[in-house]
Amino acid sequence: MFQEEYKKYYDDIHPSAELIARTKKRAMEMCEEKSDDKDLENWETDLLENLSAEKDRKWWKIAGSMAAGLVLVVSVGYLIHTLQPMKHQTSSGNLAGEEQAGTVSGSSVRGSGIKNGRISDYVDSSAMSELANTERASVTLDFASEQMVIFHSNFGVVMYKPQEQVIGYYLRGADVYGADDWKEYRIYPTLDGQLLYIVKKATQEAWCYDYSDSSYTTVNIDEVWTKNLYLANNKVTGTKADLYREDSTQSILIQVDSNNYTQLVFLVPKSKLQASLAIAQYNSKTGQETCLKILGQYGWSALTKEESTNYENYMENQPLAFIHKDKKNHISNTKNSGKPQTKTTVRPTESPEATQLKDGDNNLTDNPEENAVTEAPVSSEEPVQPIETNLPEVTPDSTTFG
Amino acid sequence: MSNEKAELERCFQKAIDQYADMVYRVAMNQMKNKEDADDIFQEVFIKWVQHRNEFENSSHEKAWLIRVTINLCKNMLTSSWRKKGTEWSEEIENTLVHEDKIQEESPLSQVLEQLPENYRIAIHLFYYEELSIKEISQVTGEKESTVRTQLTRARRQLKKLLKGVEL
Repeated sequence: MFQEEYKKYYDDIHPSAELIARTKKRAMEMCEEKSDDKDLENWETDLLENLSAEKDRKWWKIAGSMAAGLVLVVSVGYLIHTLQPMKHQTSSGNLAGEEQAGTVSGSSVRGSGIKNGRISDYVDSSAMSELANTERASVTLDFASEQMVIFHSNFGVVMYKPQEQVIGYYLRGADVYGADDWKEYRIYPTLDGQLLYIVKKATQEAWCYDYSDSSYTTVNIDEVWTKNLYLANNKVTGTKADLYREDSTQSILIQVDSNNYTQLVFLVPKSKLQASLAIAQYNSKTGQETCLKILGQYGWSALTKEESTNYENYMENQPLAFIHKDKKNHISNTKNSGKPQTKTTVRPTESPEATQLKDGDNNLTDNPEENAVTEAPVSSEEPVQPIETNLPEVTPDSTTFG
Repeated sequence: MSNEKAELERCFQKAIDQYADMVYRVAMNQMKNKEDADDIFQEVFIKWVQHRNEFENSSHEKAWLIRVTINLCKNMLTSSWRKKGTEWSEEIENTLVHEDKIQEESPLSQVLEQLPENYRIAIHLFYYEELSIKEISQVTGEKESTVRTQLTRARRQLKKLLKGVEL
């Protein structure tokens, strides 16, 4: 009876047509803004290609001029020696000059109007910054809580413990993605960050990394969707103004709780290398911020070299050891301070039944708190001690059922 | 019109057809007023546009939409400017008589308004969306035991307020 009455009451509640139209308009506008950004990127690519073509043409011109000069010298020499009486009537320079001019005007000029090779002459500095970020934004922040930050890219998956300032685990890209493109995979941590589901979108294959015992096992895809997953709705994408550093990577700011935000930032804005990747934490209540250089001063090479891979040729001459502050942080020491002691280093083939996950791993807090995002000041580039707070657990952002 | 835009429009319309009422009702359940529910509705679908490619199936999408709606409502309810605004509006409210409002509102809505937000959402998801306790737990991110307690307490309060109505 109550249910019927309740349903009857809510059946009468609908969004107005005007509200739907307004929402649709906003959504389309947002989509257009995004496609404008894409156009800008494409334009940039075209521009670079044109500049490269322009360079090539310059070389051809120089080679052409040299060849024409050589022909000229030989011709003149020949004329001097064989046709002495006619030498004052011949203008071989004109002949060569006409050929050269013909070479230039006859070439197809793609993107004509470009006169020199400096992109900054054609793109304003803010657009440059945006493009640089796009180029470097190939790292995805998957999870952030007080205790751990998880992110992934082509180099693999990294879990960093901001409070201890150590790498919790590192799953090599080769082991996680095999020979595939890393973008074909989705990473779904559970709400507590203890389990990490890796899903290959195209084939719906799934693997699970369990932080508690460092196991890396094959799981059934259906199992993934029954877990309390930490998904994207705590990620603050929004406009650029929402991101509190201009040189931050795109769309990877996570609201950890009502006051705390975590973001991946690049400390070297102009560099395309990811060596300067850092974790920025901001507390909107106290205004305090912490910037943690994930890989200290050595960059990714320290990590990748340790794993016998070379990443972006960064800092070839740096020592192999990754040392953050003291010896215990060496990545290969223990599970909590180095690479995971995975049971399998390549894709396991165990049946899902053999690797059932433990219930109770996903216990949740009762009263998740969330707040609106606020702009924050620029973070310092030097690492400082993390803020000691007793903040609540991360709020769940998206789950599924069925 | 580009193919991408046309495709987005088609998907958007489909999502609206499927979930607009559900999202709006959850927003109304939490916010208790049309203006705020309108804002929440817009924000939810803007977020949906941003994440539309991330859903694996419709139940995932539905759960996500409910979850995001609840989160955004919580954000709005706990934001400082709103708290301040509520204090002011309460002061104004005390000085005015809203006869029309009282007449318009059904007894059920008046009763529901007296329940805390987390009880209201548990009741709504259970009785209207007909989700199981486990599903409510997954959607709201609370323990099953917590959801069960919330439902029990909400029912108890409703019984008291509705004077013996069967729940």
